[in-house]
Amino acid sequence: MLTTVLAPRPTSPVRETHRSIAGRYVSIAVVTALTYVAVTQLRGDQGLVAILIAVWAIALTGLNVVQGLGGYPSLAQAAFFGIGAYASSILLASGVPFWLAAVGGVLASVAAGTFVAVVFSRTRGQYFAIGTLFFGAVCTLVFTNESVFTGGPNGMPVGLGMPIPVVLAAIAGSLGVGLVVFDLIGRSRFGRRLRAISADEDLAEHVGVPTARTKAIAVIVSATFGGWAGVLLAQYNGVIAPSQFTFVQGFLMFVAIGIGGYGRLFTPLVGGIVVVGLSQLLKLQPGVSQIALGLVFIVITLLVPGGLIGGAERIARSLFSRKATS
Amino acid sequence: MAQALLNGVFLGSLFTLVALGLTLVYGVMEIPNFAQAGVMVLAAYTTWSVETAGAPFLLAAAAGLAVAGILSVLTEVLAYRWIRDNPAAAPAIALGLLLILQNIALVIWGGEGKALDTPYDTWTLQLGDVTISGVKVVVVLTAAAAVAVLAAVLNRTSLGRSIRAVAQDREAAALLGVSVKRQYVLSFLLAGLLGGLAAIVFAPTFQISPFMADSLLLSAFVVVVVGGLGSVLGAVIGGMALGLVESLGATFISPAYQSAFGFLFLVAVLIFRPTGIRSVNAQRVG
Repeated sequence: MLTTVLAPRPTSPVRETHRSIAGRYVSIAVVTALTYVAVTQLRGDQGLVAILIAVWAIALTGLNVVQGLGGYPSLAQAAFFGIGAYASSILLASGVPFWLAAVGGVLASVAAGTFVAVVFSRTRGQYFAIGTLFFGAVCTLVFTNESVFTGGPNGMPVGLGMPIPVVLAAIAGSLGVGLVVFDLIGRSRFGRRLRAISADEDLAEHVGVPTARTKAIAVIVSATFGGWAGVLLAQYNGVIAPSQFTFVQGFLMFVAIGIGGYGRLFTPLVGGIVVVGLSQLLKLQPGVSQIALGLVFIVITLLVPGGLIGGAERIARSLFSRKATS
Repeated sequence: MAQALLNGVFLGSLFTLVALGLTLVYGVMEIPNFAQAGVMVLAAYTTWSVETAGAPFLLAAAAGLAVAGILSVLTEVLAYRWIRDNPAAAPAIALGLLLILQNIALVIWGGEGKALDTPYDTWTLQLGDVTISGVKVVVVLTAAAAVAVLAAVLNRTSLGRSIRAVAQDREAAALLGVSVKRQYVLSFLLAGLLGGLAAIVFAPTFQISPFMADSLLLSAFVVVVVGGLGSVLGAVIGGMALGLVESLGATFISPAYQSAFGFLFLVAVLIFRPTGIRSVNAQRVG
């Protein structure tokens, strides 16, 4: 307990210079532009992987709030992703105009997120993991069995609400906006509260952080991102099926955050590239890529607590300081 | 109705069997051992392979159990041991292990379901107008025996006393000369054996597939949460309650949503008791 108090404070976000903030926005703009180029210029399988990575990165940005900043293992992100995709597609199929359907998809996901938040935000780490995992499994059951609405296990076709070039621009743009929102959250009081919960929940509660409410809001924020990413995925793909949103997918999203590094700005991209990229590259045999992912994930969890980004930073810092001293 | 109740007892026994292994590991090391599902799958496949190669069922089951025990201990030695002082990383490690184990099964045996032949899957028991299959009888009897043996081991042997001591206070137990490391290995061995036993006895009612234990594992976790993480009696009570809820829900509302009723049960319990029905703080295993 005492060590937590005495540990050197992480560089206070308040005292950050304007230059470093500006630098971050420049890098977000560069990433957004690169994403746009990748999703519009790459063709065939490569283009598909790029789009999937970008859409995952949007969903992962939301997960990076509750899991990355708050340290809470949420395994429900793929379910929110799926709810957004299914709700918007079902609304679209029933004749609702696209923008209304898109809003409906996000709202459905937010409603589901609110339910998860209300029920599980009072529970602690392990219970939270179990509860969200089960929530994801139940959502898959609903997608599979309510075939009147969802088309059952084989999925449903999705009507196009906007032309494909607009969808692609929306994907890149949403990623950029999402990253900016994440950055703002990270520097806000809400973000600091989440970090406090992540560091020591009991202590945070003692010093007056409303832990349950903070966690609940974080879950709802993650559901918003997940729902919107689902709307985009459905629009691009033209067909959605339960297999895209199973709890295994939810758990791969959780893995992606761990691989990238908890709570870093670009974790969603790095995690998305590793998880989606590895699964697509090693398509040769179904299980092999997952075994590799599992091994990479465990090794990173055991040896590189900051994830790939944290590890790279540490290496860069030690190289830099060696150069400076020599 | 009688059929639904008996089915509930069968499901409850199955959940209890899996939950006992989970609760033991949680009580001793505070790890939600999702990898248990992977251990179960590999145990079932091993049994199937040995039996298909021509060995009698009991020998094949012994081979499956041995694999389950060894794998479970390996997960502790190779992975969990290294995060002993950082329980927050436990769900991540557990899920990573699950990913690896299930996909090893997928790579070796492929995604197709395999049917396990047992000497008892053709039996039926007639009680009045209710028919019970032999598999269900065997599952219920196995679970009852496992609970009795586990309770006896934990309460009556020095081995069980050491496990409980470590669960209650790791440092104090170590100071008094209990080998903490050995208790970890032992509890994972017991958990693996329980999981393997569950996988082999219930395999005939399902097909063996890499993901056969997923929904069972979720239900077992509900049992563990409801019964209080780390409580054997809680696992029995929670297991039976959940079995009845899922069976009645499946019979009277919709069989497709059987495990969803378990989720509703969990939600209902967590709303009223965020720490579970039988929360045990002072004594985490027993």
